[in-house]
Amino acid sequence: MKILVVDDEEDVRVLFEQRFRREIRAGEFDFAFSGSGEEALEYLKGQDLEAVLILSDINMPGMSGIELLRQIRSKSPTSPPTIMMITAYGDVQSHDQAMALGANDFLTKPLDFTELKQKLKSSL
Amino acid sequence: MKKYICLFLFISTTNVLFAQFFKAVSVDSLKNELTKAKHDTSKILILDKLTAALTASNPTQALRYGREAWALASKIKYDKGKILSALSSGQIMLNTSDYAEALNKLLEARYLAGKSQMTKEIVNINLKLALLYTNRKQFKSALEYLSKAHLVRDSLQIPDLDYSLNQTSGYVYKDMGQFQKALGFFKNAYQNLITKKAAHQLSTTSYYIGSTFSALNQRDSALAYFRKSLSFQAKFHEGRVYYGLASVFKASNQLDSAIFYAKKALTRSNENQFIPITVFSAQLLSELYEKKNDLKSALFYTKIATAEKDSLFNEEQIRQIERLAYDEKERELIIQRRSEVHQADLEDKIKIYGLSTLLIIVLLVLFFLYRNNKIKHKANQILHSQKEEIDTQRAKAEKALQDLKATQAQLIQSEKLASLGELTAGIAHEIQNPLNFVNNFSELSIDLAQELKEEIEKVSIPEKDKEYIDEIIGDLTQNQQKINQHGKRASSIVKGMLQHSRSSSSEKELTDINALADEYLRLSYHGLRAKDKSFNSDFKTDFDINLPKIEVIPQDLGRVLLNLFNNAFYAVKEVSHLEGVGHLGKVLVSTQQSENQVIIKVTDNGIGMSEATKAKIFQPFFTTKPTGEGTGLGLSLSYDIITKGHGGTLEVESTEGKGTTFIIKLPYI
Repeated sequence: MKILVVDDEEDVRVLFEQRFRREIRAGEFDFAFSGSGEEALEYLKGQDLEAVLILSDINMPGMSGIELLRQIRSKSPTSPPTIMMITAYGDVQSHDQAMALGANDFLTKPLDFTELKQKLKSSL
Repeated sequence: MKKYICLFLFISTTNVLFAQFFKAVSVDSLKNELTKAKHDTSKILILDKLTAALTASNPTQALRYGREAWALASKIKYDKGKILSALSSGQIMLNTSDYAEALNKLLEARYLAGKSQMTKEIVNINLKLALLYTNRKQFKSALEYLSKAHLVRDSLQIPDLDYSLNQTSGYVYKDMGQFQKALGFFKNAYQNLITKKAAHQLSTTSYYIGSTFSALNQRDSALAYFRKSLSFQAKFHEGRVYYGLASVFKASNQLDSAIFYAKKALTRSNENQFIPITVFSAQLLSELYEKKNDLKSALFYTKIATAEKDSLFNEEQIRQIERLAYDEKERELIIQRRSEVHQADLEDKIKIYGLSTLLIIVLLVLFFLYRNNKIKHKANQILHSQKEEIDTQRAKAEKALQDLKATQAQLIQSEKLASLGELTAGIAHEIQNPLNFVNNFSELSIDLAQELKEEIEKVSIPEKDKEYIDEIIGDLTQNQQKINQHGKRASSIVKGMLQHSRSSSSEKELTDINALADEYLRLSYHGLRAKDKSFNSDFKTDFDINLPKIEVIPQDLGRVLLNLFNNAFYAVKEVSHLEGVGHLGKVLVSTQQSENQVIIKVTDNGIGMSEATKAKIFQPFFTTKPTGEGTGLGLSLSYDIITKGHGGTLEVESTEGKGTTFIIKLPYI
């Protein structure tokens, strides 16, 4: 199962790789990283969507996480991939919008990696 | 008897005004007019003309017409007619020596003329009365009437009267024996007539001048004027002119000529019923015949003279004249008294009219003063009411200005806060991500340090180095913890900032404000007590039980109330710290409704605020609390919730050292 992390922040890759070093080494998690919505859609073209879990930030330059979600769900409203949205603290409007568009879960920054780890394990 | 004889000498002159009646008026035509006259006044005037026309030729008939005119004028109360009639008839009576009736008529005419203010007639009447008294040898009275006539003439300047005045004056003075003075008046009279060419009057005046020269014994002059008088062919005068000529001839002892003219005088005077001349002529003839020793003729003429004289001066007539004179004095006294009474009445009337006029003027002045005062009072009232209105409007304007200034200040504050809020929200978003990394990486580093320590345990290194490595790892861990701690603190601040920009998703709902305030008050108090067991404060509520439920977002309003309560309890706690446990803090929460508003007041007796603090209290990040105890966003957030979220106002009243009151006003409809 590929976990595609979509975030315009480069340090997210570093953070995830260091935070889940053991899980990555153990082969429990396999991360891929995209810096934008467009890049993510390009990546998804050659992937088996059932084997992908998308973890996407909402506020990004260019295509936002919400737009990415809308485009993915417009093609297959109920089918995979599993999509978890991440946004800044207390952005209730984005939460409601994402859930309405078919997001599977919602996380707020700063990420609670313990909680994230549990959610990822339960989703894989 | 002698005095009466002297009187006869002058009675012949009584027609001094007689000539004016000799008018070229046909008696027959006047009689004809009389029969056709329709009105009584016209009749009276015609009768008067007939009287004048017949005076010389037929005095008896003339007097009859005169009496008829008088009676008719009396009947219709036509005073002018009576006056004219009295003048005409009076003249005839003077000519015929009927003095008693003449006096009676003239006095009444004078009274009526005075009443009617007929000035010219008054002068003529006075002149006739002067003649009458002259004939009666009562010169004092004669001069009085003459003087009155002169006075009136001088005051009115009536030239027509000059002849009559001169003629009468000459007559009076001649009779008084002042011949030169008389001659002067007669000559003046003659001069008055020259231009008028009045033959009869010239004849009369010439006769008087001649008779005056005769009295002065200037016989030639006398004869010349007598002859001039005869040249005017005034038959009425011929009797006395002949008598004058006879007298002059007698004086020059020309007896035959004197007898000739004396007989002519007797004949003419008999024709004209001129009794005095008849008497004088008869007496002169008797004397002349006596001188000529013709005693028979002398006796004859003596008898004639005696008979005529008796008819002229009988005792009864004398008494009557005296009685009339007395009556006239009485009448004058009565008239004078009446005049005095009339004058007094007039003065009284003038006084009454004057006083009445004065009273009316005073009343008018008072009325206008009252009116002016009333107008002024009304104007003052209007001004006063206008001033009050202006004051009211000014007060309203000032209040509106103050409200406007307050609203403007509030608006500026709102705008400032809004822009600041938007700015901080933007900043918060930007800071949030790096902070997240700081927090995440610091946590991760703590875990990594722990892993490093565990990994080092697995390798064999000298104890001394191991201890050093442990110490460094310990310091790194501690540093990471500090980074994480402060990162989270910063994150907390950012969270508060983000709350400003976050729009509430909650819906407004009808809420019991009293219950909400009570719930959050207790929550605040017990929350503070949980953190600080030493904290104690009194709190009370004063809720309006009739307060209506209003549409609010309960979570947001609860957050505001919690903020205000926390601040209030914090303020009283500060005083307790400063003043010791003796000070008991008090927090009062009250609600009330006013003009479609619900008002919530949160009052404390805490440390209060300075003016400078009050000015900044709603600005974000402004706080008086020590570092770490407050973010400075509570009141700023509360302000936004009340003003933007609910359309209300949040105000603060505070006195430094005494306490603070926050006032929330929420509109409801």
